[in-house]
Amino acid sequence: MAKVYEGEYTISELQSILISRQIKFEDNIIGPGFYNDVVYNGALLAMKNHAPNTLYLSGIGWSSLAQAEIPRHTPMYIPFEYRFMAICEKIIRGHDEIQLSAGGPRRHCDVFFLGAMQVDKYGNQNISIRGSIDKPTFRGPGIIGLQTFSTFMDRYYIYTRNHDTRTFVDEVDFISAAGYKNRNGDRESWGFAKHGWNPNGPKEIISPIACMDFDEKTKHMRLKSVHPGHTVQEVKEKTGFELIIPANVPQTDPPYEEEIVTLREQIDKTKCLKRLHGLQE
Amino acid sequence: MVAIRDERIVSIEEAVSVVKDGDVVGLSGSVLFNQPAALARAVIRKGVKDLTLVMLTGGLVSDMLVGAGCVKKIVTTYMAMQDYAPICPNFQRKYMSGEVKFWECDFQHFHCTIKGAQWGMPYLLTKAGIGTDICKINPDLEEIEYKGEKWVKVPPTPLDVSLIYANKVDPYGNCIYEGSVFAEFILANATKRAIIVQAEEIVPNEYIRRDPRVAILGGPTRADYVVDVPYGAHPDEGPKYYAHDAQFCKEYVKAAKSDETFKVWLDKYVYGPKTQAEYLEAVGGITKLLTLRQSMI
Repeated sequence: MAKVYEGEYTISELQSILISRQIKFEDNIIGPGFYNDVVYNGALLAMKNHAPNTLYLSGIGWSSLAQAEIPRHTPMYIPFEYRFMAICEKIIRGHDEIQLSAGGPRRHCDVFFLGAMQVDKYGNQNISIRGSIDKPTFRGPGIIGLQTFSTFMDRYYIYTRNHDTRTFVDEVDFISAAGYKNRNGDRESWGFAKHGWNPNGPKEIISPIACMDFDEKTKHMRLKSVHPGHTVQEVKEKTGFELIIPANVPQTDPPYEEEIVTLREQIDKTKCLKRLHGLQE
Repeated sequence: MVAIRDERIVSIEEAVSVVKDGDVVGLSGSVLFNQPAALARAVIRKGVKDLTLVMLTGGLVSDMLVGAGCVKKIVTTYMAMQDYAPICPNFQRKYMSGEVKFWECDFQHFHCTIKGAQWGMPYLLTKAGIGTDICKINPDLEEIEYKGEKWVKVPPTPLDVSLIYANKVDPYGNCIYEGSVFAEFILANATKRAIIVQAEEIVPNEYIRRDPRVAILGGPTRADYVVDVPYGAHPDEGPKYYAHDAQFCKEYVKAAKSDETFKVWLDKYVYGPKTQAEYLEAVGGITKLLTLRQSMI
């Protein structure tokens, strides 16, 4: 039986560990979002900890951690860095190589993690604009590859840095990546499954205070577990729509000692998970 | 008699003289890597207007062109600067004021529009974007039905000129990349008038032939104009050569908050220093450069 870690840890470290638990032994290739310290460290932790056959797609190529060690001083969330080549075993010679092959028979990536500016009850995600298309009130950075990844990958997850009513909204202002269903139809009507592409929206949402999944029938977001130190009531108040709340909501499994030790000693060598989200958070 | 092959090395001013008002310009690199920073500064000094910028993902260099008033439209997937700015500041301001248009798209659409131009195709189809609002915000992307199913139809975007960073180039325009490669190859292939390459160093043709496998651009995509600019990607990372300049990026983000403060920044780093040597002095000189080089280990 694994031993629960009794010391202090940051929210970022916990979220990284939750992400690593979503990656399974049989996963072929995982692709974390760009510039996302939490997701990167989580994915690499999984590869070191329990998924040695899994490859990891960064902006520079495909990496394995089975033999390679993460170089010291390398912030692992900046995937294009030259230093990243230290764990790379196949480089890409142009991004069309991955991004246009996403729907082909040799999947260049199967599991993905997206960030979000807004996410709604059916798992639709917005990173483009707030307000209306004609009169936006805020400009986001852009869609990057979220449509590629949410359409073609076998499964994907959404990770958020905040859990508040600004992030978790009833309906997103703009649909950057489609979830299970929305004003434009549902996954079935879009015809993804018959090509072997993803018939589902995000499998899970990992926020700083809770994990959410989706009801199998209604595709409505449901509370799955609440992180240590937080309550169901708090999650309800910080969510901008009615979540499905099951009768019994378990606490999220806290970090196990071996997870924290591997994460700190072998993965997050630059301590970015400590620096970016302090213990006081 | 043996005929002599023409070298393609030119000055930076000569190279950017082919960039005209209203051109569709491809930029190499992504966010804080491989962007043609030195060429972009020369384009700003030349005072070119109404450009359409096309790049896989934008960053400081494309945002600098936007801030300097050279740009009317941007074709890309993402405009941000890592931890320094979640959204490029000049771009955000000028998008909100309506001064700059954004051809918003996903990676799939970006590659389809450039590949379409590369292959001379009228359009390509992709499933990415179905179920989303992308076709509502980008009128060039169209949802169509093909064999009873919905697809997104992506028209081609041919480029007039592309400004490209490479690690090494020979005098005849063959380019070597030793680190990250982004969309350089397809951008070059979609370019009609001129492929302009700036590189860390110019190497002899023998160097390329020693291992032609690492030459990404060559043959039909060899550079039309070759410019020798050491530390030319600064403040970006020049893969294998030097890391990106964190301090400079922070200063940039602060300066780019308003037109007034950005004008001062442009005077200091773009209009003031006319040569690469003067620019490198302005950003911190040899001490800064050695620090960035050592950070690459």
